[in-house]
Amino acid sequence: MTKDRVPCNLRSRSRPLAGHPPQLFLLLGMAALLGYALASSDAACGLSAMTLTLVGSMVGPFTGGNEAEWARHLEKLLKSERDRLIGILDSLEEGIVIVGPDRVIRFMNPSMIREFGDGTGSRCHKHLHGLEEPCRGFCKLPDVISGASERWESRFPDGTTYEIVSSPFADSDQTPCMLAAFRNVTREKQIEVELMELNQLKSDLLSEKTKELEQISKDVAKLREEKRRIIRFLSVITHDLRAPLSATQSCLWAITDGYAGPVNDEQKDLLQRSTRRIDGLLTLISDLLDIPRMEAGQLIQEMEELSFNEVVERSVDSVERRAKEKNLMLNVDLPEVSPKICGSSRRLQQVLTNLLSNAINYTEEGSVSLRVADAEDELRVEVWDSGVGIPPEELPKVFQDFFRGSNAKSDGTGLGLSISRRIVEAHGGRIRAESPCLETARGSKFVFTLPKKTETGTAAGPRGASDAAPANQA
Amino acid sequence: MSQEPKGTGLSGKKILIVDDDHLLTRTIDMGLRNRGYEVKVIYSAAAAVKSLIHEKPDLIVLDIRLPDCDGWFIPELLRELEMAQGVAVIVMSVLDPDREMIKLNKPYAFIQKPFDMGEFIHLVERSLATSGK
Repeated sequence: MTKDRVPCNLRSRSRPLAGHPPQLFLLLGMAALLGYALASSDAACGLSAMTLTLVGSMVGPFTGGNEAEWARHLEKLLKSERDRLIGILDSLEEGIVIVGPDRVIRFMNPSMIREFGDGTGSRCHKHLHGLEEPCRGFCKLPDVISGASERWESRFPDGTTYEIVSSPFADSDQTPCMLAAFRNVTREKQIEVELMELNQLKSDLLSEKTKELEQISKDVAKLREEKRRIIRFLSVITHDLRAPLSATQSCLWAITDGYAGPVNDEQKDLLQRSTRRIDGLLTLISDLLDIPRMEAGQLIQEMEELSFNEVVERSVDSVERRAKEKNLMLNVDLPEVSPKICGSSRRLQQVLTNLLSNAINYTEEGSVSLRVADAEDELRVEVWDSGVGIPPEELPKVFQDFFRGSNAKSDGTGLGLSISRRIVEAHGGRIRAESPCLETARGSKFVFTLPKKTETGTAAGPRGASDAAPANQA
Repeated sequence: MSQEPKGTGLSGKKILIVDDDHLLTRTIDMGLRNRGYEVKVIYSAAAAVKSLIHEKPDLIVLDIRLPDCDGWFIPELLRELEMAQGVAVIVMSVLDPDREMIKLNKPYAFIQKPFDMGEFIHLVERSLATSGK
């Protein structure tokens, strides 16, 4: 392949060879000269007496035979050396060129010919660069006397880049010649450029991502602050809405229970109806305030190790009054040894209270039952009643948000069961409904499971700290 | 739940009710007086502090949210005055219990409003019996 002719981006740095012994330097020059001379023409004509003497000094003294024998021996030796040198030059990946003092190319090895075409006998500036006049840099003949060599990179217009090392040597008549080795470093340079581009790209990308992360970090901080603000607001609203209702409820219960004096049946009935309305309002407020928590996926904020029987007992206590008012049997069947689970006491109590309240609300006579079965890996909690039940077509919808069944008897948000489902699922459990209850063939039955606490944690479900258990005993 | 008879051996004990909800305090006052307790109702933390020193109650029934400050101020003050051993505290709130504050202040019990008077009185009796005064 012949190159475009104008070199560019010439970079050179001197590498003095003054430290090398002159004999070694001469030997290198001679060896190269020997190679090209023998390769290009008659072996004998390129040899001077000095060269022969030097070669003689290399191979050692010849000890026996006559001159003819010595000459044959020497010829054989020289042929062998020539073949070896030709072999080396032919196999070199680097292109080797030797330029005489007249800038005429005296020798090109096969690699150099492949790169530039055979230019032996041509002016180097013309053949290599297409220039009529000697070019600067490339054709500079190194100072033979000082023995300095040159190394530089030259990028040709077609993009090919060579690393060039030129060394001076003196011909047999002390004519200064130049031996130059060309190494095609185009691919290496391309890789260097690609690496630089990649590094730049990486740096740009990192910078972009850092900016994005900073923005995300700011957004997250803003959202957290917003969340704290909402939680504070919810807390105030919860208190301000619940406080007067709770006080009224406590007061009405106390009056109903005779703490303010005897109450007749009609008065008791009116009081009970009033407390039920307040109950409904308190539930409504709780459900409404749970909506933002539910949407933020933060119904359960803390988990702890729980004794499940205690959670059930607190839930039963909270609905016992209502069951008594309706003359319903409230059956509770708990394991003798309270199972331990990891969960939110307050939220699990909310689930149980919701299921028990619903069962009581939709049952006019008979009983409401709760059973906790302690299996190996999970707890199974069943709440069933002898009430009106749920129409079959509504069963798949009962856990949906805002679903109100056709049997719904009081005002409500339709969120109680959907919140319960979310709470159970957040504990790694499942919840389902059946109606009629398969055991009793009437009413409805709700069943949910919870993974049990194991030695290393829960069998499934999230872990965390407590959701502030509303234990009576603080 | 029907009214329980008086005379459980704990009558005459001084109980301080600290809550700014007049309806609730009147209800509690009624329930506890029927049981023979000496009840004093206080509507703010500042008044509660004065009463603590002068009345030396056996039990404080304390709402967490008071008009002039956080109700947890009272158990903290009891600890500082080294009175915590002799006075039982029942904390009540319409809000969910603050677990960290409960752990820190160690009240005898937390009760969430609304509550049943029978259960409340039962808790009061147990707290007085346990505090040993």
